[in-house]
Amino acid sequence: MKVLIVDDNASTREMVKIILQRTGHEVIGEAGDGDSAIKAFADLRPELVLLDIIMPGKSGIEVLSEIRGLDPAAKVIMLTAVDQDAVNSDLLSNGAAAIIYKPFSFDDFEKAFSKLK
Amino acid sequence: MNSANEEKIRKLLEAGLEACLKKLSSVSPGEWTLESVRVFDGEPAEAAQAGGAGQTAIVRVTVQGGPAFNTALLLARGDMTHLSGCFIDDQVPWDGDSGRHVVAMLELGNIVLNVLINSLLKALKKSSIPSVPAYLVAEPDALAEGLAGPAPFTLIAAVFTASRDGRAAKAQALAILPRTLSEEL
Repeated sequence: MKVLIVDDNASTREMVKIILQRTGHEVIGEAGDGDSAIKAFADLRPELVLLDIIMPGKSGIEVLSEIRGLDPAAKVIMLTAVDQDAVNSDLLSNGAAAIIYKPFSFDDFEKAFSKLK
Repeated sequence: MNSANEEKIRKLLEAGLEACLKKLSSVSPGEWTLESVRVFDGEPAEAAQAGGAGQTAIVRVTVQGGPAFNTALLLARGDMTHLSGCFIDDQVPWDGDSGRHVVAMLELGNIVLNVLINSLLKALKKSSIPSVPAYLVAEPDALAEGLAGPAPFTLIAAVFTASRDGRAAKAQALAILPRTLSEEL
């Protein structure tokens, strides 16, 4: 899959990139904040977005909503250290396909990818 | 907070942190071990000595928009390279600048402090998106002053160790709650 990675932390983007490349996916773009993420999504039209929640400026929750506004079929998996019931419910009801919690493993990505339709 | 509530919160946080550090041990180069979790009424200055006498590196995450409290990861600045090496594999590429260890500590703080935040918000039956982690360096006294809010406080201090290649370093995850909030726990 062609993937856009959105996370404000460069070390996390690098670790995610390694996992994706080892599992045969192609990273076509990276973004470190919400506005850059929305622009990259519009420009690149990735098959999957991996999206952090806590970022400078727009949160991942707002970015998820805007991306789904641009493309209601967009596939988005959240990648976050936030694990709160109300937030999780909001994310899933707003179209997130799955949530990967930090710290993450290869297996976490495989499980999340299996939920993509 | 009464002692029964202190113990309930201590156990809740201990379980969350142990699960987090176990996962970290399985996905990072280091071995991560929880040493202690304390819940007590006190002053931030008491906990701010965790980094020793020298400069302390801090990753700070705040919770607003509902319950308001501070959390911070404290470590001796001299241990940062070791902790970074425990967190990120040396093979992970890096684009040049010298901020690798700071970036690693920001993400370590994001992960560990959100374990505290997730557990505390769950106990409070509340929800809030925390701030972006911020990095700073301070002397212990200045640090204590910077972390203070409306007194009095309940403090939650969790000490953990990261080991790799025969070397170990400690860090402390701290939550500072106004007593008015901790009494709701």
